[in-house]
Amino acid sequence: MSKRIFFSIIVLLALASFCFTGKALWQIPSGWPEPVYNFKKNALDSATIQLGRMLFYDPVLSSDNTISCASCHSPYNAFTHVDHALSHGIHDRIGTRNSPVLVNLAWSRSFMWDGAVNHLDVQALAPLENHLEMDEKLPNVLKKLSVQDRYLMLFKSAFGSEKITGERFLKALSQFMLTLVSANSKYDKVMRHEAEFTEAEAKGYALFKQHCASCHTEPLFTNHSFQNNGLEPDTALRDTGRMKITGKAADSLKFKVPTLRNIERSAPYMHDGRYTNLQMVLFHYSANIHSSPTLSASLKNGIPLSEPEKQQLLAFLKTLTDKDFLNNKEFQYPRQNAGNK
Amino acid sequence: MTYCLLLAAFAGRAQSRMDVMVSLSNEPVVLDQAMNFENTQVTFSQVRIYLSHVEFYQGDSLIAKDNTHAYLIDLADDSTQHLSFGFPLQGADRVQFLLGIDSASSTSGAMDQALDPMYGMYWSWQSGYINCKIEGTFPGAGQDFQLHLGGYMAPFSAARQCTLRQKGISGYSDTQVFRLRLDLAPLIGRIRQENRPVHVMSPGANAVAYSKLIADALMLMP
Repeated sequence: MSKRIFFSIIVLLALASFCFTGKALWQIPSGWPEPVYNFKKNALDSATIQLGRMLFYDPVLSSDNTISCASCHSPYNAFTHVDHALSHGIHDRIGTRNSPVLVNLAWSRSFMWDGAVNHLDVQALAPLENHLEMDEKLPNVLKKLSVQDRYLMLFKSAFGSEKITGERFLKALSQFMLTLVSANSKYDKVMRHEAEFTEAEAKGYALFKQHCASCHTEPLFTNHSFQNNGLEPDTALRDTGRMKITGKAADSLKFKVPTLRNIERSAPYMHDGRYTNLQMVLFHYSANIHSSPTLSASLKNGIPLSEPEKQQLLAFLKTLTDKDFLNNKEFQYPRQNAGNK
Repeated sequence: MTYCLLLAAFAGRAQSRMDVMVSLSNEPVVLDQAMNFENTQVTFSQVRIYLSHVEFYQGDSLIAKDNTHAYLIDLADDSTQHLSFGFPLQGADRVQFLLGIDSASSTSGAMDQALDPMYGMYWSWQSGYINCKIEGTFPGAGQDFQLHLGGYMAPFSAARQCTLRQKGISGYSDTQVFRLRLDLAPLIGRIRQENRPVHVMSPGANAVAYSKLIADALMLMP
């Protein structure tokens, strides 16, 4: 059987398995706001999502063909890099920030901890061309893809021709990442009246609304703003956060408010991964706020929490874990990648 | 009546274009070739520039608006230096365009054709198009320059609105040509004065200043 016929069968099987799930490709969870992403400019379809998924897991995107997107964004950890304060790229080069989770991206107006990227479609360029991460150039990636029969067929299925362009490559990745929607945690079920909080979780939720929700706003558990949350500046990394992008002193030490969805699974925490567990995070907020001119107003006095209150808050935060999202096979490594060159 | 029909027929046949020439004073720039400049020599390794939102006027009246979103002029590819338009330009005495890419496009994600990020004119470490990439060296002086001029956010928005005037193209010739010339001498003179490597690789005041220098060096040739 020729290679082309073999790959055609693989592609068709992959698409068929995707098409016959009977589910809509994307929908807004009940009660959620409208997404920011303009789907009209990149309408989702099965073939393009599958192409994006293949690309996401393919180390061919890196200059030495060893690092894929999934290397730092693991599906089992809410698409972040477990147990790494700072991610490492090719040749074990250590990066400068903790990899953020990839979840509910259709509602984000900016990307990266400093909001350097203003549109999901171009976010992938940042790690792709970063010397410490994938250290590759987009034209070279496209060249590598264009000599693989399976990608010629995937691009043809997705876009109607075998032509591989930067725009198509990036939009396919976007389509896969847009499907990473997490909206079925215990918290969500409680909100839909399908479950109930325990007493500790309910008290933790009340504490959360009182102390945390101004920045970690429901239902996305982020308001997408940039805040200085009182972290003492790291003298080695010297990361000024948002100021690096805007050039404004008022943005010094401000970083994007991350979502708290699946927070139980996305350790370590903060833009530099300095806190290995949630207990350390709560200690920071209750007793370790570093004062500076741009400190968030809501943290001027810290968040005083007793030990029982911390336990309740932790109990609530664990209700944001969405096992359906974390174990969704449609987000995981596409088995068609195995052994194919 | 017959006269009007003839007029319409000639107008429909006319083809228009804009030829873009990049020079160093009066000499066309050739990549990777040492060129004399004042008391030294300069070699350009890369010259790539975006032009967008091209419009033609007669007086204050808009004659034609080009539908192509943007053109990437690349000295490494001669074909990019001849912009063809599907409309006549009779009577046009003013051309207006943006040197660079507008802010809206820099926030619209991945785009196609000349704006495809695969052409290396879109920043990877942060969003936004690079309006101009000009790189080279002063071989005898050991000084190099790398200008990646961009930025779409105020106050460092580097795209420059350009308006250039010339006498209208009259008659019914089949080809109507605007000749746009960019003289890099002012830019190179400014860089040479620095007497050190000049690297502008991010948005900021320097990118805006150099962008203005380039925009001011554009002219229409007769």
